[in-house]
Amino acid sequence: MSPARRTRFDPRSILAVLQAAEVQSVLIGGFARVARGSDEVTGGVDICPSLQPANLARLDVALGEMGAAGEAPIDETRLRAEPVVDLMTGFGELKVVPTPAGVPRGYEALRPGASAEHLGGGLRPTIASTGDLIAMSAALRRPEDLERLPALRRILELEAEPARLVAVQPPLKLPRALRPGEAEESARPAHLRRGGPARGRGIDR
Amino acid sequence: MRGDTVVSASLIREARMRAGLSQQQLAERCAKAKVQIGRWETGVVAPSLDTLLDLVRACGFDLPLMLEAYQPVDDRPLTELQRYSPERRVQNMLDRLGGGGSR
Repeated sequence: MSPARRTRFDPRSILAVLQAAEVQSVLIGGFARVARGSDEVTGGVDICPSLQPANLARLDVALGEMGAAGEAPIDETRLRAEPVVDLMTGFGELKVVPTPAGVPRGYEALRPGASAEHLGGGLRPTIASTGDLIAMSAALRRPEDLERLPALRRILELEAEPARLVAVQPPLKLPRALRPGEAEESARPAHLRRGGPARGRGIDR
Repeated sequence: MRGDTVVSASLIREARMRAGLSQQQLAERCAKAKVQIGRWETGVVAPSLDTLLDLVRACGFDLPLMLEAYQPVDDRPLTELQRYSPERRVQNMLDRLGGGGSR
């Protein structure tokens, strides 16, 4: 990315344009990991789109709206030639990855495990599952990807057992149920109660 | 997915995905029912360790097993992030990045 083209990263605007254009894709990469709970920072959005021609046409229109104009059109031929199409939009970096590492069947394989998640402002992108994000990181085998695997596996465990996230609370101390007659007795002024004005310590009865 | 099946479930799915196989294709390779592959992958039940190895090998991978010293990891930041919604996790990251992003 040249400094002249560097722009403020606004992932929500990228996702909003894709959603408005009804582009079918699964969010992958660092941004997806962050949404799943990974403790990292990323400055780009990665998507794995459906390779249906109609969908690629919608994606191409959306890219034009994002200011990624001037690039060659996104179509199946280009995506087969370029495993990763790295684009600079008016809202930041967007990578289009038709067949991510570890997922040779691309969108078709990722979609069943993915889920739509609310990201605010009416955005509901489809995000790859943590398990599939692990598969992609493991397949890339770059040191930074291998380093994050234990954390991703831990996230998977936490997702499977959400009860672990809840701190153990002490049981509530509920008042003992009153026996018949106790309610009236407790309502009397202390000096009129049976047994005298006080039943506490220091009273010799 | 259950907490006690998550490791085997994710390993089987990872191996199958990386091999580019469908559940049906994996089932045929290891002579199991497709529905059983699905039950293992979704963590309904866990396979035995030997079956797990068979499944991973049917995908063209191996699972080297050796004992290593266990080193617990401080996972408090991850646990904290898991309490957040995806929206808040993303906003948290954007705040760290400095831009904040549009809301």
